[in-house]
Amino acid sequence: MTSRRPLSWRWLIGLLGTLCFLLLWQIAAWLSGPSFLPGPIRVLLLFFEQIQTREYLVTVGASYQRVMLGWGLGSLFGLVLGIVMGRYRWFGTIIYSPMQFFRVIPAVALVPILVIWLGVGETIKILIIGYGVALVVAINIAEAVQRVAPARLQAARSMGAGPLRIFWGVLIPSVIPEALKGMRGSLAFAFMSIVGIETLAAQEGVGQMIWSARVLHQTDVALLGVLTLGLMGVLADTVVRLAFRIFGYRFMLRG
Amino acid sequence: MSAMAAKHLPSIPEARETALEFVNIGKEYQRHTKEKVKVVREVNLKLERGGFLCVLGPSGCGKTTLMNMVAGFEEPSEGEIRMNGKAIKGPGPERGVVFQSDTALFPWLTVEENIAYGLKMKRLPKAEMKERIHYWMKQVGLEQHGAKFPGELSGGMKQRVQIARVLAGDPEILLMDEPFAALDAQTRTYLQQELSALCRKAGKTVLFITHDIQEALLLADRVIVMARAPEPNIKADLPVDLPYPRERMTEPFANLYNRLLDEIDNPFKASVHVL
Repeated sequence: MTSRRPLSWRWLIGLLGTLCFLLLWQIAAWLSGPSFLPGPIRVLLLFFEQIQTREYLVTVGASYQRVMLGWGLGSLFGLVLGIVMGRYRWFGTIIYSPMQFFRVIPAVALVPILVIWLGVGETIKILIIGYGVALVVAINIAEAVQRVAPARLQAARSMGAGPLRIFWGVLIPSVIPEALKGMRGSLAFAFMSIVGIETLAAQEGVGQMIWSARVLHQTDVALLGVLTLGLMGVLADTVVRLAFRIFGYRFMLRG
Repeated sequence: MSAMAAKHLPSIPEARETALEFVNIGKEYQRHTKEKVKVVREVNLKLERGGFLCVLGPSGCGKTTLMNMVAGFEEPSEGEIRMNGKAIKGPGPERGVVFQSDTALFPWLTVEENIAYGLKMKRLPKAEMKERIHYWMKQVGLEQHGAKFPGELSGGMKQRVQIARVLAGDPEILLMDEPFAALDAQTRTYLQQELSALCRKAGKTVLFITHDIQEALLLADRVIVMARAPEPNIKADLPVDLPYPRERMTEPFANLYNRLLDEIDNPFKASVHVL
């Protein structure tokens, strides 16, 4: 059923863009000296060296676990909250303005107060990541629930579907595309929060690695951290996108 | 006269049985300005079993509201709608609805699964369900497309799916709210012909909403014209005694067309006369 697109020129041009960027970076590195700006070759070599060490893998694993847990739990919470908000107008109205207020507050701004309340354990990290994700997902879903075509709900009712059947069989499938879009979008959000929270309150993790590189003036390590984050994000996004395509194919269809 | 005659002929059922009856139906809405707007006013109407009634009128005259009340999506503010003598309370599968918008279909279900949706709730045996689905797919010309999703179909085909889905549920009454209004003229003509044949074959009672006079005259055996407030809600009620299949280019058709055109409010009518 899935049609495979042939490898197009666009893909090649994309690769060319990446190569150009790497080349410019390398030239800049040569001009400025390796300790000021390490070039891509040096960072990549460091990457291949580090990826064989246990320490690096533990660092990446710690961050990944936080991001995925925070993202997963935040999404779940956001989904439930969004559905309730969209379904019960009065609840949505009550909660909407405070949510708009919190939406513009970056998760990192809440770190100090949460550290005072919760200490610097894992809970606070997952909470900070989940907070941003839940807000984005909830607002997306609430709007999607309200946009479900009245004719679709009416059709189901007139064919004899009860409220429970309409909820699980019509409302939920109708908002799945928006839910997945919101979840994918907020994955980027989760990666943004992880750096903030790890630089401020963590013993290990990629954010901590980047931040502590400053002390020893290890520019290459700092850039390795940045590279690691990017790769982690791309990998997570690809996995999530593939999972959606495999398990949610029919729900992504438009009428 | 018929009542008198019936006394002498005890076992003959009444030929013109009432399927649906509107008794003094009124519907008001509260607008933002707090004034109440009465969209439907004093509608009294009887639909015969097996009849095809078209409701014609300009937008805003309350024809969709009327249909929504029969479907059970809305409640009348006044009066009662009776089906087989019993007041209608809420939606039910004995009244099948075909919507103008194809958003009424479930885009994540295939054509076959869409048609099966209502049948699943009737708890039919699997074999019978399959048979019905295939029968109706064939009737609307979709037998080749059962495994497709609605997004892969044209607008006309999607309306066919809606019609098949409703007819497969074997409702007593078919409610159609401008089902062909969003289609191109060619597809609309085909679907009108097919619907007319299907409904006569199945013997369903049909309430069909439209603002297209030709459509009404091609399909209906009776047309009512609704008007906006403050005029009386039902402005005209006339039978269409033309043989099926209907021909557009005939004199009786044209005469009825002109008569209905006169009956429908035209806000520009006055200025046309001045010209």
